[in-house]
Amino acid sequence: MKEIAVTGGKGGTGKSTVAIMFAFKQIELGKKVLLVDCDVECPNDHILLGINELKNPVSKTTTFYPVIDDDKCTKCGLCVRSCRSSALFQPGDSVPVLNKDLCSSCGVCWNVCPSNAISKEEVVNGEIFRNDILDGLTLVTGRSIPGVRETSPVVEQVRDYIDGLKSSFDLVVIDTAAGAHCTVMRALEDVEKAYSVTEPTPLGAHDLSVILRVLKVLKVPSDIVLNRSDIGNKALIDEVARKHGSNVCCEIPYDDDLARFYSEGNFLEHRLSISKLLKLYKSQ
Amino acid sequence: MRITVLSGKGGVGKSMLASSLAILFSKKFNVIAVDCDVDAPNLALWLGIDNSKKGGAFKSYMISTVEKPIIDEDVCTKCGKCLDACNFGALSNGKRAVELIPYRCEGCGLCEIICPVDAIEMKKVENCTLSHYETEYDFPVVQGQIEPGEAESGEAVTEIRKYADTLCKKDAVIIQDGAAGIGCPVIASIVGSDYVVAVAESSMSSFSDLKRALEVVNQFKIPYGVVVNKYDLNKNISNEIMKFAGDRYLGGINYHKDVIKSIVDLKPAVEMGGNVRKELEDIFQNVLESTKGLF
Repeated sequence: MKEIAVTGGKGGTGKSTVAIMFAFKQIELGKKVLLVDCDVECPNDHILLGINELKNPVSKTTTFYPVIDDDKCTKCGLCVRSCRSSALFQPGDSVPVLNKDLCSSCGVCWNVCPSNAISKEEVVNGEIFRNDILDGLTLVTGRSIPGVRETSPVVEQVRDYIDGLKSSFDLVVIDTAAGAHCTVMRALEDVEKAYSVTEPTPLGAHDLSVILRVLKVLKVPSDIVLNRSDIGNKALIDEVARKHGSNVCCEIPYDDDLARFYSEGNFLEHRLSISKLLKLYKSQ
Repeated sequence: MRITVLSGKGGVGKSMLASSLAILFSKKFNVIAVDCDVDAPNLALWLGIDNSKKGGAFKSYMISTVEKPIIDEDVCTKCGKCLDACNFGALSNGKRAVELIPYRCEGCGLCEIICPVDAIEMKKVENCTLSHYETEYDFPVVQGQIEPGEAESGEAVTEIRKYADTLCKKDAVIIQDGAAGIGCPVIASIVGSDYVVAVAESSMSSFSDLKRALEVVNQFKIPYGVVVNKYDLNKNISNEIMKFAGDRYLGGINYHKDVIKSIVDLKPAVEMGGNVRKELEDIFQNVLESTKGLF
């Protein structure tokens, strides 16, 4: 079983497209693939695979918020002073009040309270869905609840969930969100290899540099996939690759049909022609 | 007045639109452009600040939006209490002492409180470079760049915004280019906005993400308008998005050769002339109309 990630830093370069292309290629070879959509804020893999709506979650992801017992609380204010997120405030001399929006569920307050007045309330912050798309392709999607600020715990729990499934598959492909923040890093942790998808434009090159630096911190080796490879200046990407000790392993020229299939969300119907578009420089 | 451009989905044209709107607004108003994407800021690049000019930043310095634990190897007994307590899995057993996994650490300080031998001290970490450039359009652009592997993007966005606010002259229009997604960094940019310009491209994926982004905008009760980019790529879907937006529809941008050239050459779309300039000017007029009462 091999676990890889498809990422990229810049939004809209084609991460989900490439993740699905990789999956299609492996299925053609008779392998079983688990595709994991860890772009929990804005998951799209299901749409590209023709699923209009995610229904019947197989699991919910949760976080904890502090709940203060009015009777036990001595109003000493220690929890308020100890909270580094300023999520607790104490109007006058009353029992402190929680602003959930600022709470990072760190647990400082319930650990410091000298009167044991603070307990933990488990709250749902996301859902996990499973769709068996084809014989040989299963999609697991994580989706955060809109308004939830800290979404990396949702990603963490998605990855925990798939731990139980991984051994039945030959390849696990983790599709990450755009960017390079903690939610993306949680999706990239401990994968064997990452594929950074970019485009041959100045912004593509700039953001590729960012994600390659993050991958270095995470100690995850990365190759580069060049999407829309014939529009722009490939040399920009080659330079970034050289600077970061990475290399472009495959490219996908711009294709009108692919753009249309992407837009409509019907990769599944056209999977044979889609996987032909991925031009590998060496066998992957 | 503060206008935030967001989308949910990445790569649909937030920075392209934000930079062009900033230029159009600057012809009538004092403008401050703020890049609220602190992972991979692109707005300054769109506004003509290339890498060679970056050394000429008006101001550029490191800021700290987080404290992280420093563990004294000589005092640490590796009792493991901090490891067990940490809710973020940010501590691990090293050879001589407990070690920090920096990108997992939220800086809450629980380990410092829990440690029975006072081996841990929270110290400020410089995790973000704040830069202020003066553009050739006579307005400033402010951005932040988080150090690779550091967390706390939301707090960094808040600090970038605070700095940008100090540059505010009378009746300034602040154009904020939001990050992709709908989590912490995006929420940190939405808070206190007067108006949101939500951008979608003509794809089912982007339409889905637009709806999720607008769920969050509605939670903050902020008025918004919708722009459809790459309109002609799939007119059926573009029309669906336009219908969904109703009277909040601000306009569409077709996927012209000029737009592609704009991205490849990194020149603001509004300066490309021709159709895309007209489309952007129409969108600008509609934004002005929609935000009339907010000035």
